[in-house]
Amino acid sequence: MKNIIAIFLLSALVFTACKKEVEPVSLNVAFKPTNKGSGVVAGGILKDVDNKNFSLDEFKFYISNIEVTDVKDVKTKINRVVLYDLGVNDYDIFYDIPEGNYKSISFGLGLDTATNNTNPNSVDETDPLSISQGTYWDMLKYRFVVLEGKFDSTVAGNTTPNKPFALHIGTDQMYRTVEVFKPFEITGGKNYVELPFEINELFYSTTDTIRFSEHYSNDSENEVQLDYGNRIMNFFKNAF
Amino acid sequence: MRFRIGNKGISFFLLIIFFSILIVFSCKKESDDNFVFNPTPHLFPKPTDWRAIPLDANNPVSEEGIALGRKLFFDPILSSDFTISCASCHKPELSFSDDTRTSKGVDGQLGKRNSMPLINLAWNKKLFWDVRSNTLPEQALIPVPQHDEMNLDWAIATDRLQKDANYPMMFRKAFNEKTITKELVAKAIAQFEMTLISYNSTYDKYVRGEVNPDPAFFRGLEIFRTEKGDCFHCHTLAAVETFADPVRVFTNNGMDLASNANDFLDLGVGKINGLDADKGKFKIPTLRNLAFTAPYMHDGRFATLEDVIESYNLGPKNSPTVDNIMIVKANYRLENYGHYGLALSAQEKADLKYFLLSMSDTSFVNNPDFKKPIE
Ligand code: HEC
Ligand code: HEC
Repeated sequence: MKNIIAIFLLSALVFTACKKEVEPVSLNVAFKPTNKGSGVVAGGILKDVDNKNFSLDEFKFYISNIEVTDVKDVKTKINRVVLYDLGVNDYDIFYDIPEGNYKSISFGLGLDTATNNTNPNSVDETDPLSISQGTYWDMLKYRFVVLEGKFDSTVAGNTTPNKPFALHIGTDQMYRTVEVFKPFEITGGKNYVELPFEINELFYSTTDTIRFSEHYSNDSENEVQLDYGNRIMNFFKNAF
Repeated sequence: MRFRIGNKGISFFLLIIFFSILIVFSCKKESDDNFVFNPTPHLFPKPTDWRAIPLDANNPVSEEGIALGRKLFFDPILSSDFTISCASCHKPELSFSDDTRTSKGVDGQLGKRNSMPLINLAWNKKLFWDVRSNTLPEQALIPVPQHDEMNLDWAIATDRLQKDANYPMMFRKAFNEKTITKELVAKAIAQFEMTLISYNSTYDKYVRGEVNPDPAFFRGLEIFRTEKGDCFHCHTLAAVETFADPVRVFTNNGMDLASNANDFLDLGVGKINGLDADKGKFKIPTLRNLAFTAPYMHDGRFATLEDVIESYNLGPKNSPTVDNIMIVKANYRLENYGHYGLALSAQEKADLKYFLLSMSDTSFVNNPDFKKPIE
């Protein structure tokens, strides 16, 4: 009798100990804005397209409809919305992705129409779509991208940024999808994918450049602002 | 234990004795004066599209706690000379605010700031104009000993309550405690404050599809929530319980010119946390019940809503801490339309005022449950 109990106890112990060690397979996707090769921190001095100073106080954007594609073209959807928030939340961890070799990750920048119609008071306080995130406009639903900071408005542009800008971009038409071809492997335990992008690439392409001095205020309210918004979202899509 | 397996009769007998002793003992604790602690949970209203009321796990709300908190709120027993209660400065008919720039405490002493309306406070993460308090029970500890308010030592206050004919039993019914402490007083007041929920303004009824407001309402709403008036950046309508940006919480809305952060007459949030960047910043207040809460702003500087609108209409005054978005929008207006201020017409100002007043709720200020209890 005593032996049986001892064996039982021991196996229970071994069992719980084993359980602890098996880590669930996870994928950590991190968005990494860079500026001329360095990292970006809130409040730090950054250099714009013309090498003029600017700084960011706030940089948020929504990522949704994330999907990973493996080398055999099998796609796995990740049903989560992520709110990137500079200095606060620059990554998210996903589970339930099969182990294997992957060739690309795709995602939406912003929110598709259905998600954009979410009632921000109907979800949990901590949900990325909650009113508590401060991303909801009264008129226009969710702000997909929030960029706030200051730029140096002097000609030389090498002094402390002095003039504030606030670019809030949203409405259904701003939604963009991105596919980044980047091989990565998912094996047991933790896995990482980094998605770096140059912050200035939100403001130019080979044929078009937007400067803070010409465009520092946007609430996606009129034709002019929507045009700027669409251009910025096109640049952003190509920044990855 | 002495009984063996198999001797089921005896063990059952022993068990019964054991439990009866337990029951007798636990009964005794409660029944020395026939008191049974049995608080009635309070059911909060849940207006459509509102976030569930954030409850305080350390302070479950009961009808007994609310009744006690209400009595305390209206009782001048908590002031040194028995003249001032919370309700002296937070009058129910004024949506629990006061109609003077600053309010009189004990000995006619004037406070430094405008009394704040008490509405939907459970949804507020920060309290006071300078956001120095985080929770209702924490806040309720402050006015009693404050010299220009109720000016009474907590030790004396709790002693008075303990000797009162009614309070000790009310505290037992609410908290199952015989000894009255300042923390329990604060918790009871907080429970009453949590019930002060306002959700029946014209604006609320419009959102719920119950009324079809006048054209002036829609014209005012349009000004409010577009760049035209640019009110929505701070007074978020979708944050319907508070109408305040849940992330920013406090800011400087450009009412004062200052070249140095220390030049503000009242340093606001910056005085509490010592940061220059927060000097001259104040809590974004609720815009509910403005019909009852004049005068306006932290110092009560504006007697009327016309004054408030006129001030915003001029555009933000510059200072080291003025809200960036206000400056962005003012610069944008100046460079694109040739005016730094909002440049609202007389009609537009009237429409904006009409809309602001639509967020007032008469049923709240007339609610008999929120009035001084009848003794
Ligand atoms: C003498 C007038 C006076 C008395 C008495 C008084 N208050 Fe106040 N109350 C004020 C003023 C003024 C403010 C704003 C003060 C500040 O921000 O520094 C305030 C702020 C508050 C707030 C913060 C509201 C918000 O939206 O942030 C609460 C809650 C409150 N009081 C509750 C009480 C309670 C409870 C009592 C009684 C225990 C009480 N007050 C007694 C004048 C008073
Ligand atoms: C940049 C943020 C911001 C913007 C934009 C803004 N407000 Fe305010 N509002 C505040 C803050 C902060 C206060 C409190 C300031 C103080 O007490 O000194 C305030 C106070 C008020 C008050 C006084 C409420 C009270 O109980 O005392 C009213 C009314 C008001 N605002 C209406 C408006 C209207 C109308 C607009 C648009 C024309 C507007 N606000 C735009 C931040 C803002």
